[in-house]
Amino acid sequence: MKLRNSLGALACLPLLTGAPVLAAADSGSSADAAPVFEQPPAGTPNFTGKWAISKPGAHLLTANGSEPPLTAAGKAEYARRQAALKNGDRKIDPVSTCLMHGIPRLLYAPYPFLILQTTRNINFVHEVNHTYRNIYWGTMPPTDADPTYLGSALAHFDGKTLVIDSVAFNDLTWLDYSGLPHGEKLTVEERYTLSNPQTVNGSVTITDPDFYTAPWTTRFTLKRQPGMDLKESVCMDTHQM
Amino acid sequence: MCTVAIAQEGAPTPPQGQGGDPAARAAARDKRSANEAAEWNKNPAPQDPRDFSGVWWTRGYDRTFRPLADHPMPPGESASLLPMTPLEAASRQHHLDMEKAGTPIADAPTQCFPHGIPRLIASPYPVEFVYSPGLITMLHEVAHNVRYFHMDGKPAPADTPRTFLGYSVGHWEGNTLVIVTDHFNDRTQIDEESLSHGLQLKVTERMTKFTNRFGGVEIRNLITIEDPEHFTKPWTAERLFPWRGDTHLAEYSCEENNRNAPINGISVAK
Repeated sequence: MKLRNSLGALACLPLLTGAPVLAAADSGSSADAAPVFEQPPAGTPNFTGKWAISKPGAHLLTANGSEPPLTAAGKAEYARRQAALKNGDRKIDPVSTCLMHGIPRLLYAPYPFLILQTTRNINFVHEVNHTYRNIYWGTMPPTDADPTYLGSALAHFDGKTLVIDSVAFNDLTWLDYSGLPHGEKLTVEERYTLSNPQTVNGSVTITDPDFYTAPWTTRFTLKRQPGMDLKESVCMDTHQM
Repeated sequence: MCTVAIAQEGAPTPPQGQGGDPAARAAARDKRSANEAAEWNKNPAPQDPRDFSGVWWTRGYDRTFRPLADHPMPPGESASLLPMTPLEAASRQHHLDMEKAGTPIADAPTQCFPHGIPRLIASPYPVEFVYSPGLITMLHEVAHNVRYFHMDGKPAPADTPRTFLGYSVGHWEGNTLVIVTDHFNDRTQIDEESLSHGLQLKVTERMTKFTNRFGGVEIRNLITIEDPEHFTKPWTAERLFPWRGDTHLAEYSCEENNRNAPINGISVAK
């Protein structure tokens, strides 16, 4: 159990990438018009919208299509999980009991998600079991944070590319649906680039010396899902993750 | 990383300056409120009266919803203000009896289901409003509940399912954000203590940002509850949400410690 700690968050106050731009959401000017609110500065790529990954549920491979470079410990744990899954032991999978997916697996869940980008932070709100990440702007997330399923993350722009760095993960999640392992030394770098307004070319770099002999990178594609409304998905009802 | 329904976790520290004369106690409370407002305003709330972006956190925990009264009343007394139908009066008594017997009726969040509305609004954990075109998203720390306020002026689609948190449509009346939510299932309670609802529940929230006498910023939420099966007329409760520029939402996994996880669809409390 973790007590609420309001001071721990002070280490990651918003770091703005430029002056905020006040933008009305709609053109209406009546009392019913949407309020003025802060949107990303002009020229900053805007990821706000509804998205889904083009190949959900994937087994992660490196960018050149090879198996991730597991250490001996990594190979043993992965083999144990694979064998259990082949034997029909679905309960070995943490999401079978509705635990959070972890990162990057959450991105690969076969459900859409919202990205909500503001000057304050960038939020990934996933349909699957209403899981969200609330990521403030900055670099170098504090490594002394308590370990969590989704890690401690900060986001910044590298040119036109959105970069999210995450540390302080617990070891209760799988990296992908096939059971790729990780430990508490895991760090994840996600990179998101709009190749056109409807498409994100993304990559995830995994570093965990206990389970992988070297950092490795996998690539993914996101597509916008206009007109789609996120549904209420409650894992405790369905146990379908 | 939190256990289920440990309400006291989120509660502020008890008031300082207990004992002594009432004037001294009031002065101590005022000083504490002023200090809190100064601390919480270091990272200030948005200036625009319609911009609620950021983190807000209700004070303490009241496990009951009661109609607004013109003077403070203890919960036992204010229950007399509830316009209950005979169905609800009997249901409420059953809840109270079961709790007294040591076998309380488990409400939705006890089993890691979404809390329901207005039940969620009482939860003593911080919340964050996130604005985007046509949508206001409300992130709740507790059990990672998420609410979507549809601000595009369209009603709920015809095929909208019944859900724990319902379907919310919002609009502005002056600087008050008005959220109307319906399409609820009947698996949640109105409050943690005793009040129930059915499928006809409709909840209207009126949220207004204001500055209190200590310079602190708060959102007042006036919550109107309508359900003709359970209440003879609509009634309105209030919750206040101080601005908390000093904190962010933390990860909260109810499921990690879910001792009531259903097996083959049957809840097995231990």
